[in-house]
Amino acid sequence: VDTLPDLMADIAVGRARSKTDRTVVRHRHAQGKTMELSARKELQSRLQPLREKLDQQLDENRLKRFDMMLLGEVLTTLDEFKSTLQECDDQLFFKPVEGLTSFLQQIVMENIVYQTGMSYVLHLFDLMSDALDHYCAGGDAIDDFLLAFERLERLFQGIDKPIAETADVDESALIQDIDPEAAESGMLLEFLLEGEEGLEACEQNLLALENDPGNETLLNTMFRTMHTIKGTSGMLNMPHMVKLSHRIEDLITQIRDGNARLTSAISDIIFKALDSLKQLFLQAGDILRRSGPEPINLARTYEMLSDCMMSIRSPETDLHPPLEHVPIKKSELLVGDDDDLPRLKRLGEILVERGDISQQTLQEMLKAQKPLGELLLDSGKVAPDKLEAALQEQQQQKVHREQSQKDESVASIRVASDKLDKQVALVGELVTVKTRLSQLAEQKQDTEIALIAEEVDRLTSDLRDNTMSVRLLPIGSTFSRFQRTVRDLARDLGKQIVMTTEGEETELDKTVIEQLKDPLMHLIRNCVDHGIESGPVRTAAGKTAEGRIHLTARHTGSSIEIQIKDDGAGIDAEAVRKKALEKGLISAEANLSEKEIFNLIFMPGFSTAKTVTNVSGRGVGMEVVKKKIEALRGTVEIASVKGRGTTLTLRLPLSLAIIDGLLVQIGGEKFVLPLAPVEECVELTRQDLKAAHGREVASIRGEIVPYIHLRERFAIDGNRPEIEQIVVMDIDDRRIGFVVDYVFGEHQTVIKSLGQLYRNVKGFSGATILGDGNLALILDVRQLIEAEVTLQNPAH
Amino acid sequence: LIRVDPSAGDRPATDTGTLRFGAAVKAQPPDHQGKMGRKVLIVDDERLIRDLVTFRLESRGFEIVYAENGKQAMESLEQEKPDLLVLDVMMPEMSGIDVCRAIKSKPETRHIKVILLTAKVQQADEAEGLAAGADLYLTKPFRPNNLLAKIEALLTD
Repeated sequence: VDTLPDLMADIAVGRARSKTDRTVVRHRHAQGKTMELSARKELQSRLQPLREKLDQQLDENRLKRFDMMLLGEVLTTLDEFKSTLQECDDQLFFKPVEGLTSFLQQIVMENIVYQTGMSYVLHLFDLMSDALDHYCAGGDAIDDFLLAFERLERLFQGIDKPIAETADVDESALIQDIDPEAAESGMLLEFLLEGEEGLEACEQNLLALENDPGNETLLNTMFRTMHTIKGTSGMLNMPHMVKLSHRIEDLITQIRDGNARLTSAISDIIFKALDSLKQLFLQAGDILRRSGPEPINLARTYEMLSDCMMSIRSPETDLHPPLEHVPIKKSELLVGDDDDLPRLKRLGEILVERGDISQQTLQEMLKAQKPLGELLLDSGKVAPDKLEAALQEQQQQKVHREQSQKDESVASIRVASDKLDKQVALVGELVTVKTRLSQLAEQKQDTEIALIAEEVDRLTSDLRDNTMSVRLLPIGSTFSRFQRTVRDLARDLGKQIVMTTEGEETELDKTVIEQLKDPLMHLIRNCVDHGIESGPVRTAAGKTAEGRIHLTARHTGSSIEIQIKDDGAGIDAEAVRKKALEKGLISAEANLSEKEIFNLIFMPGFSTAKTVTNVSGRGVGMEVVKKKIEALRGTVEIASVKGRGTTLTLRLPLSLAIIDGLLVQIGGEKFVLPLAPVEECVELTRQDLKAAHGREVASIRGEIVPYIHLRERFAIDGNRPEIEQIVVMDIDDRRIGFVVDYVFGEHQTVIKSLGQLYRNVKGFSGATILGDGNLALILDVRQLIEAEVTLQNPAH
Repeated sequence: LIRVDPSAGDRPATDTGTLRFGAAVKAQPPDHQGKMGRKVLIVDDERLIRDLVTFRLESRGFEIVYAENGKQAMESLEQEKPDLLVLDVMMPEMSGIDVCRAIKSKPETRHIKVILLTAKVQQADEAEGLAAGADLYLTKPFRPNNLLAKIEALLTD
């Protein structure tokens, strides 16, 4: 069997592979009429302008990259060429030109690499021109040329698969070849970043499409993304990406052109295909980083895609059921929505246009008309909460769209994140130096230096804030990723779950966001898997069959709060307590508050999947989640009402690198307390101590505030000063004091993590270098409080 | 995209075997029409391009040798002593730019003409190519007739 390249090669050179071939061609020519010389002259003169046009158009293409429009123009001219040949009753050139046309079509469809394919086309065209000249001048020695086109024709008759597929590649264990040139140029890296973003956007659009299947804007956006990926990956010589994105693009085109409906089955296939594409991206990234790439199995994806295309092409076998629920269209819900999407004209508009009714009549009628929501409600067709849910969803889509429109319009540049890291580090150094300068200024009592120091101080803070904000990213993209998880998981489990999100625009440090993905994913999966009950159970409990998960992000001072709230089964505190008892985590007589019981879930060794499913449904790997969050200097809290749902609250610092701190001194040591929760500093005198009868509480303006005596806690030698300072903080809505010797004041703190040895010491989140070069430990107040509770209550 | 195993070709097995193991080899017996001093080394990792160039040059009596990447090209220079290189830029092992630079920086190979034939169409790419000493910078897609004319012109200089 001839390999394809061989055939192409033969076509190009017009080389006869055997004498038989040549004879066959001769024989066929003998059968066809050859023209009189005068007719040939006529043919030549009629074809001349078209030849020139083709020549020019082909040359124009030669100078460009793949350009659909330009290629289309060539195809048009070739059509004219063909009809002229027909009119002249030509028997020889028509078929070759037809062959050239279909060859070009293959190039347009990107089954043949553009650069190579077009070079061949140019060659073939020149061959044809020569042959045509020769023929029109009365010659008959054009066999080689004709043979070339015979082969071309045969070639394309035999091909029902794109050429790309004939390459012998094992699609079930694929590792891509990366063009070293492309890898070095940095273009590849950029493409990988952009591509992954594009894919994420595609996923979001697809999710949105499931609720609004006919939305052309969304389809077009997806189409464009796929087209860009296809184009760029072609340029970077990544055949598999070209092929896969091409297939997805085809499928989207079918839907956009109305040849297929976006059923849930089809959207599943697109999701899977997008996943495969993402795998290709990740693998390319691995190869680029020289970490061992995992082989990818694309065979199944291609199988699904082609099955899907087949069923679209033969519509009578529509195997795919429509979407389970028909969503309420937004335009039916809200009166006067102002989106600018192309839409069908409304009945009223048409009637007015036709002059059948006046604008005024229409307005009056519309005024009398109730919104659909109300009508449905009145007639009892829809429960109020359902309607509320639909309205919320609509609102969310609106917000989402506005957001994405906003995003598009914001000009931005892409910066390598290590450059930003470097900048943060430099700003950190600068902050340290600035502190030294300030201290020096204070010592020298020199107003001039003090003035400069102040200026530097101000600029440094601005610079710091700005640098930090550069690293901040909205958490929205992470949220939307969860949408997909919830959708897939719920479908697998046969549950109906709607996830709503709020505060997508909330910004967080990029590193924090990245580190947060896994634990959040884990928590949400838990919600779907164990938190939300199945439809019948919910209905029996008097809830809506559809479970809800609400994801919120918001700023609270220097930290960010992320909340995952579900209306599922909640946690059975008693069951948790029993389990913990069984596991020996608590003693039988331990008197724990509900909150403390819930916190047991986070304890190491509390749960395995098996034990939790029949307890409360939570706890799988919760310990890991907590560890990860704590590694980010964050906290996680759990609240639950049995039967009503569970709320998980995560609190995280905005940034990992620099915090505002309060510099304090105890004995000869300096420490930094986080500034954000600080409410006030008050004095603690010997008299106050006496009044409290040795208990560690202080009365501040009549309110009793417990405190932790840090000198005692850290067992620092030396005498307590006459007057100590209580730094009063608000931690989780509780006032608590920390007693120190002396408070210096605010201090911008560059956090350095502690060495391996000290990493596990509770109560410290890091250390910082002071202006004078000394170290100060940064206190983790939450851990300190926790430890204090444990000290006083040894039961846990 | 078409990736081709060079062994899938229709050339005699000995040729393709050698091709695989990396050395530049002679292709079809060239048309000897007394046109010596017309030896062209085609360096491209894509066989279809090598073939296309060959087809256009063959009948004009050029002697043609091949290499599949920059490294092979460098290895075969001394043995084959080509008069001209048709050189792709984006190739594994060693890029065309590097090959060109290496050739043009050595006195004993400086006389060899180099045509860069590449899909890189940016002006900066062309500038880089010419800075590396290339005699000509042609972009893909290319017109084989055009390439032939340029080669003829370069070799008659």
